[in-house]
Amino acid sequence: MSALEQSLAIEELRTKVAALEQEAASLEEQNQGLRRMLKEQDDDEVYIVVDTENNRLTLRQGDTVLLNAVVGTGSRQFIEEETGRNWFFESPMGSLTVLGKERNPVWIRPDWSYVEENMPVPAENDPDRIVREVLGKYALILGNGYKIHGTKYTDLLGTHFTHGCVSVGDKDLEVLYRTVKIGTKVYIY
Amino acid sequence: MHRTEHSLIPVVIVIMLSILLLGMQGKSPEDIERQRLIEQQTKLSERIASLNHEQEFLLMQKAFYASDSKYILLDLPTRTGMLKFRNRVLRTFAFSTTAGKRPFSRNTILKMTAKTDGNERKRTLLFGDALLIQPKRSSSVAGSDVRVPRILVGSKDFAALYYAVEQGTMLYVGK
Repeated sequence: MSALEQSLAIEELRTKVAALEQEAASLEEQNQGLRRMLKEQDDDEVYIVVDTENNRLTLRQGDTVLLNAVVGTGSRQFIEEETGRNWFFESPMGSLTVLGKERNPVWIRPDWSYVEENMPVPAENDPDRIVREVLGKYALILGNGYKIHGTKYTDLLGTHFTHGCVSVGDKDLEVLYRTVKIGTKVYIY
Repeated sequence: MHRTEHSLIPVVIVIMLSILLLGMQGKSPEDIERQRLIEQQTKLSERIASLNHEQEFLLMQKAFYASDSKYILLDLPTRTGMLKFRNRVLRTFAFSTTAGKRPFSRNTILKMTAKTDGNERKRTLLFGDALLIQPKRSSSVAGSDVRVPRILVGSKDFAALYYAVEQGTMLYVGK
């Protein structure tokens, strides 16, 4: 290789290296922007996760687990009324929000509760529907009749025994009630 | 005695210089510069590949932060996985691996192609022919499956994953 050829080859290499340096710098800048954007979306909010397969509830804040609770979730059973009305008792899946918080919640017995026990369904505003002290001391309202609440049947926690609500033991329920706010996200899967 | 030692010093220096010069034989400043540039080029190419992988991952996260689909992240070096929804961690789990005849595709995004049914020990999550996720005490290794690398997770974690994901669920295998 002549001196001129050698010099040209080196120049070509320098150009390539400069282009690569520019490409790396540009990628680094783009990635930094993406990282910043993702970080902005990573808030420090507390959220609830319910694993319906294993009947576990986790209260999380970012990557930190604040509470791990054994819970009861929907029984996955199906009932049908003579008229053809039917119900499938499954916990609601997906992304929900705590819409309200209650102390000493009252259970308004829905129609399926009577159908399930082969009882006549009373009128909608029948006072017989009001049942106290079965949902524990607190409840977190998720909407469409679903709640995270306490239970009298603590020996059933860890199984699929509810009509769709998430049942929690007393101590865990108290932690949940005190920690979560209205608007807290609940992810049920 | 002292005189002999002193007289040896220049000889040793000459020998060492000769060795040094022999080593540098044929290495002109241009050669040295070219070598330096080639090494720099290699390093930069590696850095760009790594930044491209990172960008792919960041773009995937950006897309998932805005979507309504759950997704799985697997970190091979730490053997930990995460089931995520948007920016939220739904579950973290440990896993072990068994190498198939094909290597793990790293820094790769895979799509779940099927879920096999059956009793708990036979259930599998299939990501094409790139990866399988199975419970640790899995009994199903079909003839064709042995070629595919497997991720083995505890039975409770597997049960949760099995019901949480669906065909089309995305998975990212890191590093």
